[in-house]
Amino acid sequence: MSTLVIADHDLGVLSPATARVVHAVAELGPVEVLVIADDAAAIAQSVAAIAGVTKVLTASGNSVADSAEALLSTLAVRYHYVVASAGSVGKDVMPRLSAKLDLMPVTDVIEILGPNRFVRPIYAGNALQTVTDNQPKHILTIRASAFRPAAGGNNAPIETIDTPVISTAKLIAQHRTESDTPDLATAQIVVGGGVALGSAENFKLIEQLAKKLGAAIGATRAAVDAGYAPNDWQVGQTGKIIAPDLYIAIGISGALQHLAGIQGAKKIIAINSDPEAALVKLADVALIGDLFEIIPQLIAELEKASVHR
Amino acid sequence: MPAIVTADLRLNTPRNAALPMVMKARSKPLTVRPAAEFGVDLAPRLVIEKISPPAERVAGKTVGSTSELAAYIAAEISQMEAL
Repeated sequence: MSTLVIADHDLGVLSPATARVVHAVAELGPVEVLVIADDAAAIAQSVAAIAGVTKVLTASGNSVADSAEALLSTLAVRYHYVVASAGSVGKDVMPRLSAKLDLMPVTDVIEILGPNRFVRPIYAGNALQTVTDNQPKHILTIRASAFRPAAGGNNAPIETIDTPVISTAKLIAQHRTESDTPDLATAQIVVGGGVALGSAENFKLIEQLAKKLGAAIGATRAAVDAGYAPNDWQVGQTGKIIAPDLYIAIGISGALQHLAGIQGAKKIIAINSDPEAALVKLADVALIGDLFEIIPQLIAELEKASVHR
Repeated sequence: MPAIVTADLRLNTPRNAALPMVMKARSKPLTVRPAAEFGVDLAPRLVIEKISPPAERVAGKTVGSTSELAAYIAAEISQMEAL
């Protein structure tokens, strides 16, 4: 009854989501992890260190849906569960694999109740659905932020798969947002800004506060649509789903679509001029006032209290 | 080819159909064909056990000043680092 987890990685570095996915599925049986990358060796080393991993498989190539699926559908015969994080690779590869294997996937799993019982959010997180999956094999995508990461210190064996992973799609270029802030999806603290910031220039205030707190930066769809923040900062139903220990929402009224992305946050702080805003009512702590006065003051206060991460 | 392409929602501004076009579209024939004709089994494979509301957040408080907020953040961070 073993499990195959597809590793998430970017720029030759393993994503923190993988350790969380491994931890999530550890109770289902022995976990093997597949790394598909042009240069898989370094990533495989990081994977081998994750506690609970029994074997690391590496394949050279690009994990685009068509190529990864071809490899996975041959590998799948050996496993009872094929699992990926509910990120962009998981959302790309798993539906195709499920169709090929004629299985119905269970997506966005936030809790595993038993070998074939899973909990997942539906209606943008407004309800939780518990499902029983009686199929012979299970295809799962896991919402990594809902689980704690597995510990390190392991030294699992690494095995190379010789089959090359070839895609009909060719990667031409990647355009990235340069940022030295932590990964949004798995950050402990996130500072989010809304359309109330008014401009991309003013959004730098959010960045300053985030830097001070060692936090990742998030934005609402309205702020991204207005061009104040890049696409990959978007938090919410059509953006990233986050579950930080602390979320600081600045100038965000709290549209349902945004709230869908932050429901996993342990503590929420809202800074808003409107005391009736949905997010203010939802927050653990709220401060009412003008964000352009509050943020510089707050940064100064944090400086004074020598809060620094 | 053929290829399937997905697009970011900000790729373009939608062109909304004008009312006459909407009316025209409504008069177009619509063919309904049973799924069985395509040889696919659409029966759900997952059994829904239950649907429950997510845990509700307890109501919070409003602080009066930035220094109070800074103190709260400092406390949260030290608690985070203690874990």
